[in-house]
Amino acid sequence: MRGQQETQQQNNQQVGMCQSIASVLWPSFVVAGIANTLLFTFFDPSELMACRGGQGPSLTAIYSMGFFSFWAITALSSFATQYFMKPCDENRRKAT
Amino acid sequence: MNTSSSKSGQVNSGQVTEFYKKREKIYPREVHGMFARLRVLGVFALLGPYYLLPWLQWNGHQSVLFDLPGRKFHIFGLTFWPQDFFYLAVLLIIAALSLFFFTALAGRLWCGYACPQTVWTEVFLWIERKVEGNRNQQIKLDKSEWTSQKAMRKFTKHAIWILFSLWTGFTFVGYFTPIRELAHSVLTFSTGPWETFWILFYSFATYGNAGWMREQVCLYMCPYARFQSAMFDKDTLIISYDEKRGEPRGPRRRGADPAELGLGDCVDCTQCVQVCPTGIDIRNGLQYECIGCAACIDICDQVMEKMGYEKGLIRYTTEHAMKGNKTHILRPRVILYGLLLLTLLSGLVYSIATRVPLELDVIRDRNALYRENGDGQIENVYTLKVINMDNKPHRYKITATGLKGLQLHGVEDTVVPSGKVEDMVVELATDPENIPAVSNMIEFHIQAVDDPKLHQDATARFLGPRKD
Repeated sequence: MRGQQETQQQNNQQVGMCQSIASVLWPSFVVAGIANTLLFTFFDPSELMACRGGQGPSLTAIYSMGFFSFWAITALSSFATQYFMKPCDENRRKAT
Repeated sequence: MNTSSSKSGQVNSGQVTEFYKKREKIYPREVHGMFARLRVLGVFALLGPYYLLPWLQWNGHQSVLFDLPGRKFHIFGLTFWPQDFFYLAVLLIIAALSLFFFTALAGRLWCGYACPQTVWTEVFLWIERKVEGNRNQQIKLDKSEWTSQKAMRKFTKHAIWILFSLWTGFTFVGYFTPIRELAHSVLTFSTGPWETFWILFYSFATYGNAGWMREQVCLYMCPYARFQSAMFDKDTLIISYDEKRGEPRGPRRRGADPAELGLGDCVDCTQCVQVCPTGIDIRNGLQYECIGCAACIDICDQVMEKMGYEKGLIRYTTEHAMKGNKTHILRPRVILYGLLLLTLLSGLVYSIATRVPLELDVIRDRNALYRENGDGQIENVYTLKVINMDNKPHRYKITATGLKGLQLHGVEDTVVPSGKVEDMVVELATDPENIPAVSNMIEFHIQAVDDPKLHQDATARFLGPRKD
């Protein structure tokens, strides 16, 4: 009876692979988009390029790379959150 | 992590534990009816403009173009600059408020008819049906052994999906890069690396979300689905199964009297489950998975009609109406949302209509508080930033007021090209007896020579010597 209950509980706690991946990549994608928009609204990359002189990457490239840098950082944060949300007591109990 | 190659990995005291809950593919059955027609209307009303707008020209430029490198957004006759960020913020607040307003009134209208996920999935489902046949044929095809015919059908479906996705991705990038030039460079295989990347990225997102993920986007990725209950109340329009009328459910022959059999009106044909794009049973009550597409209403009405029963066993209704109470459409929440929405909308329209595409920023020279010039006058130095947000260049005249005998030296007028910022250094001077305090407020005025409506003011401080 108890075993059955535990299995039931495990099933309820389980999330789909899709949900697991989406919960890392999706919120980070949205936040990266917002961060990128805010950054480049108040900061014009062409001004920095003018200071540096010479031919730099195109503005589209800078905007794109800005977005992916943000996404990498925010995804890392989402992943860490997801990782630490895992119940550690459960894992320890299983290991022993 | 997963140690074995299969999805079901860890063996725990004889039990195989699945690491991930398995997703069962949902094959939504095709449905016709009023709400299905509304949804198709939604598809055309939303995707039509999406695919066509960038091709439309307006005053010699693309009607809608978000020129990121040029840092300006063209929307028909209007041009927005980063300085107009305020409008974007207000627009987002309006979008959020409309969502609250319509959700409180009529539930998940957005999800059922207007969400891009619904709209594009609808197109993908249509393609799938054209290639693989109806629900039963699709299930049979997926269960059958791999044959050349099955491979051909699957290949055709994915090929059409991918082509449609590529067109979608191309159109998306066409909002950021002039679409006619982009089309030319696509046809000659000469698109830039980032354009190519973004076309593929958006295509992949369309293909993945509308082709594969479908209802999972609504279930796992959509924040709205999770917090919608906060906007619901007992007077909100929801799709509901009339339990009192339907139960006890059960199959019966046509023409049989349900009362005699001790049955309700639900014939338990499970069609409402089969048409559901998120695979739920509406008869279990309101669930967060329900996107309010009303497919179950359409199909149930048809079944009721066939059985000769009254329509509306599943229908749009409210919790109050279900309990036999009166539904209040006008209630504090709706009135408040509506008023806020109206205020913000009219404010935005007014503000855009009376927008002066000119900005003036004044920065006082920080090196010296003031200086005395050769004529014995007290002089302050300022840097003026003139931003011309109009579509054409203008000559602007600059004046200053606020102190008696104030004279402006340096540049008195300037030509600023469209969309450019011009920095200029000016000096203001006046006799010491005209300066009443250490710090005095003055005002700069800028006026376009060719257009009386184009003017802007900016305040600054004029510093003078201490009077003992």
